[in-house]
Amino acid sequence: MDPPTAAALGEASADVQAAGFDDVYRTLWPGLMRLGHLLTGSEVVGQEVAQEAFIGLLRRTDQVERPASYLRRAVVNLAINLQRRSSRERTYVAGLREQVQYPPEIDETWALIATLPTRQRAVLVLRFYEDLSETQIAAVIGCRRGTVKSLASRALARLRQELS
Amino acid sequence: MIDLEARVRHTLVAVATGTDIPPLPSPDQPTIVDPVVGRARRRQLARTAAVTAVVVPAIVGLAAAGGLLPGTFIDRLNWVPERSGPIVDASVEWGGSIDGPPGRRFEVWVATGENGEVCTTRVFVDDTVAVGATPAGIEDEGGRCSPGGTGHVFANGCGVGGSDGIYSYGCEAGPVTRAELHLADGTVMPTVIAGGEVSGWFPWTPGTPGPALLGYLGDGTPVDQFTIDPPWCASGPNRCSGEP
Repeated sequence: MDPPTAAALGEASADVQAAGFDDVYRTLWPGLMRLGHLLTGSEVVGQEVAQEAFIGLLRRTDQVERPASYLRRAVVNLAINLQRRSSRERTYVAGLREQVQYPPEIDETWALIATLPTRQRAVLVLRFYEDLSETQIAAVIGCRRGTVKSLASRALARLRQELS
Repeated sequence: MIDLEARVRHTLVAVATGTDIPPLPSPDQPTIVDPVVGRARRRQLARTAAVTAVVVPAIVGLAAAGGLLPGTFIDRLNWVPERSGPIVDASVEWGGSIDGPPGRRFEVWVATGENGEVCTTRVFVDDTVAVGATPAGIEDEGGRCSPGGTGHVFANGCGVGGSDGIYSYGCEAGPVTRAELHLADGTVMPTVIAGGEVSGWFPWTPGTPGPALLGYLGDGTPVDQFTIDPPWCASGPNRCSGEP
């Protein structure tokens, strides 16, 4: 039997036990790692976050109906918490080393995105990479839709200012 | 006029698709490639002179070993309980110290959270109090928790904080057993390696280049060099600084 698609695991009700945890893992791992990378600025940390999300899912296989949605929310929340190293410090992600050399335009934009406060960055990633609506982003981050609007607006304003 | 949203989308997709996706981990298979042998990005480094200032010897084994650290001190340190769960008090131990700015000493404390994560926290303390005694004049500089074990990459996940020209940092130590921080003026600053992190502090003046962190394996082989370039907290409040 073919493994379920990510869309099926996220948008439709899908019992994890029925789908098979291994298949869920195999299907969603690459996307969640990429999401973790974008949110944390680090491939390695992104991996850790994605794995931790799966561990959370494993503990709740009988409770989670939409594993993709659950895992996405877990990755976002774990990434945000991870960045909360302390009140006096923000994780330095702008200069994290990458294996891939990007064109200057991407390099410049990514470096600026990486310096945004975590929740602003998360909103941009969820909106422009995951293609989620404001309502969906609000559900993932756990805030009101107006807050999502405000976070996105501030993030884009800062990028526009820096890039102009 | 740039199409900002298109540019952001394009950037995120490019970075995401450039992610080096490792094979699915299994219980018998490490999930992260050994950075020394597997990462093409490393650079060859010239051997540099040994650092003269070194970590203060662990003479004092520290009050923590005897369970004598007062809870008020433990609570005063900046752990990250939302990440690690409550800190296990008996696990709190001194990780190392180096000389700080005048009148101050830089210390790293290490503990384990209830979920098993290893946490480090950095502080400046009064240098009039002996190493290992309960510190006084604690100035919190930040902290981090992460899963223990191997697989971490040198200089990944750095955190930098500070103000008034004095900054401290903590980065994954990965496989390195010795590290140096080279300032733009040639000064070599010592580091503390404890709890899976390499930590230390540096003076920095706006407009000057950031320092470079160099790591070495136990046999002296250079692992990598990472420049801690400003800005560090472009949008952060309070003590985040380094903005142009």
